[in-house]
Amino acid sequence: MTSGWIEQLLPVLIGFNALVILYFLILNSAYLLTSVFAFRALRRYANRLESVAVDELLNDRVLPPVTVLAPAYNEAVNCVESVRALLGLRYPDYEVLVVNDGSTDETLERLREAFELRRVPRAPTAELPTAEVRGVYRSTTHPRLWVIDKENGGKADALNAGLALCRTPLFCAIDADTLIERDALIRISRPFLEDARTVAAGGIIRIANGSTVESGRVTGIRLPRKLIARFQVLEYLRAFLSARMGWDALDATLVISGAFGMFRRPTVVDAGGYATDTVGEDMELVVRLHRHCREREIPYRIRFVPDPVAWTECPESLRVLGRQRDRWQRGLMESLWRHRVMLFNRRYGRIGWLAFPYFFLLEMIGPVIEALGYVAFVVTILLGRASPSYVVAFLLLAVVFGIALSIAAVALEELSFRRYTQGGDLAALLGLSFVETIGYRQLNTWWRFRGVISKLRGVRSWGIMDRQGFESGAAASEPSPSPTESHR
Amino acid sequence: MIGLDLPDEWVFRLLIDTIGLLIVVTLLLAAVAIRLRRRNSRRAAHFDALEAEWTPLLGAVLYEGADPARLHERVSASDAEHFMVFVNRYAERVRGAELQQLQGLAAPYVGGLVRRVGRGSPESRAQRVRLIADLGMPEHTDVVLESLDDPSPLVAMIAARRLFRPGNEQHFDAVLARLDRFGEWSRRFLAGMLAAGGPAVAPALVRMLTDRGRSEEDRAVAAEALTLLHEIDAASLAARELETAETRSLAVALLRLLQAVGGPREADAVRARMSALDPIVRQAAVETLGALGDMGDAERIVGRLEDPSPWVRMRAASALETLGAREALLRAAEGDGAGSVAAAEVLSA
Repeated sequence: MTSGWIEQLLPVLIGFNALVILYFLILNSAYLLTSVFAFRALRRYANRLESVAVDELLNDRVLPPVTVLAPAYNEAVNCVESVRALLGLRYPDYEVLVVNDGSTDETLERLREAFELRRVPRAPTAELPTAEVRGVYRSTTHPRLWVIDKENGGKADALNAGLALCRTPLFCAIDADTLIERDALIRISRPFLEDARTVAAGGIIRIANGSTVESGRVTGIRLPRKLIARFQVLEYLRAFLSARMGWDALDATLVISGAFGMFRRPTVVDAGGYATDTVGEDMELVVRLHRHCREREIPYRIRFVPDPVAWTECPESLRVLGRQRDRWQRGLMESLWRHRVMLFNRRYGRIGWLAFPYFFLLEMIGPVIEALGYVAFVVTILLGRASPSYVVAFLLLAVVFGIALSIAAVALEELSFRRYTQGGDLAALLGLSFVETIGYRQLNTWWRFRGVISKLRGVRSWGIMDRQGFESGAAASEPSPSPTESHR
Repeated sequence: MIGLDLPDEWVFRLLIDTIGLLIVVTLLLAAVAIRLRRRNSRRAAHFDALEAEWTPLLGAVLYEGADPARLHERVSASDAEHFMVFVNRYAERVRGAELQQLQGLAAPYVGGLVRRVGRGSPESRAQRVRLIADLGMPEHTDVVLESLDDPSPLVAMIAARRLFRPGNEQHFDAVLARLDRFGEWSRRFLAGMLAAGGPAVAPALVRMLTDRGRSEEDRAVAAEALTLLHEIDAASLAARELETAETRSLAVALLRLLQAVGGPREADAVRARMSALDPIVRQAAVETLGALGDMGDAERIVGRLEDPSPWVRMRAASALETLGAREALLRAAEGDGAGSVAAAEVLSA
């Protein structure tokens, strides 16, 4: 009886194992290819930076006005320092629009006191449906600072409220807890100057845990102390320097991080603004911009630029990190499923034939294949149908592939920006590449798999995100916990 | 194998070979990372040491009349390009006699750059063109001019930006003739580059603006550059061109030019655009009329407070403020029309 059941199961198991192996080979080959493209693109980009210097752009009065949109929800602890940092950016003509998204703490009061806000009328420039705007305030001490106070509606809703009141041709969307470097706005606006077709550009996100932050600026760049945060440093290097740079070289950028991206306002407004019914509003917007421009035959470009830097605090507990990855996976699924018409559709060019299939088949479905692959693998071994030498060889292949990709990302960092300059940092990053593949990668797969399940179950929450707060120069050894709840 | 009936020996061999290859690649990449770190650290230390040595010598040459040979002795052939970069950091901040002094210091090394200007990646070529243009002598201008025809738009752009500077008037036309090479760059960027030529470029820009043989996009760039230059003499021409401008880009650029340099005499051309179908043109017209018009235009602008475009409503409120029509603004702000918030905002500013 039992053996008959096993005999029936075996062909399915064998077929699935073949699928897993195929998935594994295609995924890693794609990673390897993007790393190769990124290598060439980064080298060229670094040289390009030297030919048109940042100061030249500043001096020539060519930079277009920009609005920085910073949605804030319960940011009372850090909001004043964050806004001060935003007001100190190096850019000739910009406004800062902080959107208080119905905070239940003292975010608005803190801002009102620190910047002497005065309630003023401000006419909207676009009609985007949002939760009710309770009032608009302008700083009497810093005229470029505006604060929009509104009912809670989530991050996308807050961004839409800001977008509706934005008056500049470009806007830069950031997270309120993101620290952007002083000349990051100049750097991220370059693609818009160099190619008038550019409608969106994303910068690089780096992890600030462990680094010293003084007056909203990251000063001493160090690797985080906690292993879990260090893994994320490596992950971010892979994600941005290998993957996004590689996709940009292929002119197929499909993701711009919500923590730091610049957009052409009229195009985003025409496309309908941010979608409020997804937890992945950043990716959804970029996919929709591709679709919008392609369907209307608008010449456009969406770029990733590796030198404008935004620093963020990453989760340092497995619980919070798991929730973040769960949410990211749901956001990815929502974005891709909503625009599934683009899959293998020649109307969408290389997005439809290259980037979209990659994300749809490998990043969206991947965690399911990978997680079930581990199960099938174990079952096959238990059934005695797997040759031990093959098992060892496949595991070794997976591990070595993972290590190679991580080390490639570290090499790309050394080739280009070299932010981690302390003596042991390189050794630590190389060492992490060896450790990360066993354990951390599987955990990630599990969280993303859980995200798939959550999505199928209709979960829509953002989850609680406990943040520790940046380490200030004065209190570097003892970060003050400031638990806050992310939007929604 | 893992339940798959494949020719075991062959597949296993392939697996092992792949693993072996990947291990080699991994080790190579690690070696590259370490080598890059060492090389970059060594280079950074080398350049720091060189610059620490060059900086006081440069100061001595520039301000104490020391013999430049003392500095040149410290520049090896392999460090020549870096020396140019070093000198150029100072050259970018000075003009006149000081710049000439710096050019004199760089002179022995420009020839080497000229020989290599066409070699390497577009980015390397662009960097060399930049250094030659900034530190070269008049006899090197031909090299920069030739770079306008480099296959890379980046190199051509660097050359154009360098040529479009005060004192290079004789080369302005060469750049303007090749403006179509820079079609991808933003209009603002191009206008900024042209305006960097200073007042001397104005006649060439006016010619370009009125040249119907050119694309309206090019003419819009000229209009924007004239706006940046605040070229008052272009006002009447702009009004005339506005009558026939067909594209949004040219119409808006001309309206902005008129807003900056026009007067009541040009107001009629602006009034004609107040009812343009394109809201972007309409808002530029409303704003410009606020600057050039008179109180007689107030009623016309008040009408635009109810425009379907929020941008036009906003500009109309600002225009009324500019005209001094506060009564009209107060009435609008107290009402419940579409432009009431815009009017209230202007009044509260």
